[in-house]
Amino acid sequence: MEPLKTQTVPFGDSHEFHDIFATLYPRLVSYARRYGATYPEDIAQEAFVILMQRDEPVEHPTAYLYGTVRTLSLTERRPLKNQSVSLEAVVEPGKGPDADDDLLSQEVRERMKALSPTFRETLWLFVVEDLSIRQIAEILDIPEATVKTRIHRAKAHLRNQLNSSGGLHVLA
Amino acid sequence: MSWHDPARSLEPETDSSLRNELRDLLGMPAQPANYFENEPSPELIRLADDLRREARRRNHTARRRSSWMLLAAAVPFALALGALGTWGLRQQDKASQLAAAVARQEAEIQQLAAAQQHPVPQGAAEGPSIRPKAPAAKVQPPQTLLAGAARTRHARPESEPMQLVIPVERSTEASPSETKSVKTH
Repeated sequence: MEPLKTQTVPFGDSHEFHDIFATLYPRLVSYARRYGATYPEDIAQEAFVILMQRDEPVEHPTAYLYGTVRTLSLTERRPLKNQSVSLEAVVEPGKGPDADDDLLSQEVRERMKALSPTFRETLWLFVVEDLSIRQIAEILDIPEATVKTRIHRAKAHLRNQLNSSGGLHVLA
Repeated sequence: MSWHDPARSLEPETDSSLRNELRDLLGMPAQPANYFENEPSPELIRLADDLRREARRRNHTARRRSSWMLLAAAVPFALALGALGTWGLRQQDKASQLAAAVARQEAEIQQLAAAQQHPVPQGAAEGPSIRPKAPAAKVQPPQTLLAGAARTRHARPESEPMQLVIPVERSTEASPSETKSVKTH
């Protein structure tokens, strides 16, 4: 009979893992909170366990963790969704309960709030979470071209906002 | 698994400049602020080790179904299906053979009946006949049937009227009702 695998957790060095965990865990907790998760810490921890439980290594661990947190957060919100909670309320950055809004200034939050939830979500991952387009495509499960399109449209919206408010000269 | 994501490190210059441009538009600082750069605190280290242990525990307790086990489970179904198919083909063969035998038997009976109903008159070959030969020529029973019919005719006396005989398979053992005891001298 084939013996059970004893070493399936794909993290070699403990020190490296501790560093990565210390960097990513707070970000994932914050990300889950922005989706309105009631227990963001549990969701972030569950995402790490799911990743470490995998037999086969993933290509982009960071994107995998973000994607898992997003899925778990949305799943947690599903009963509320059935009570006619709009997507606007779910994916708006900085609107989740106890979200750490001190990361962004009031001005930035106002500008992002003016965007549609779809563009805002992509923009948030690209600019605030500092993820690559490929990682965002993996997290949102959409093609890279769609991510680029959303980012460029968000940029156009932001430009329009600044034009209408007369703030474009600041950028020049 | 490497944590150094190539998708992030090999990011094109255009994407980086786009990110900086968007930061400008949002009014954020150009350089990414390391909001979450944390030194691993003892609590976080403990939590990380706990999660690692939990992942190991789940790996040990999770039921693993390998592909060969699934294949082994499918073998009985495949065998049963094969056996059923073979049996069905055999039954179909048997049924077609029986149907052919019945059809052949029916044809023989019909041809025999036709031959019995329209016997060829004895004097037809000796002299000119008034009756046309066409109806007699219509029925052409096969040679085997004619031979069988001839045997049947020869077996009975000439004086008896001709009867239609249908061959029936009978059991070799005679029933008591069919036997008759006679005294021999």
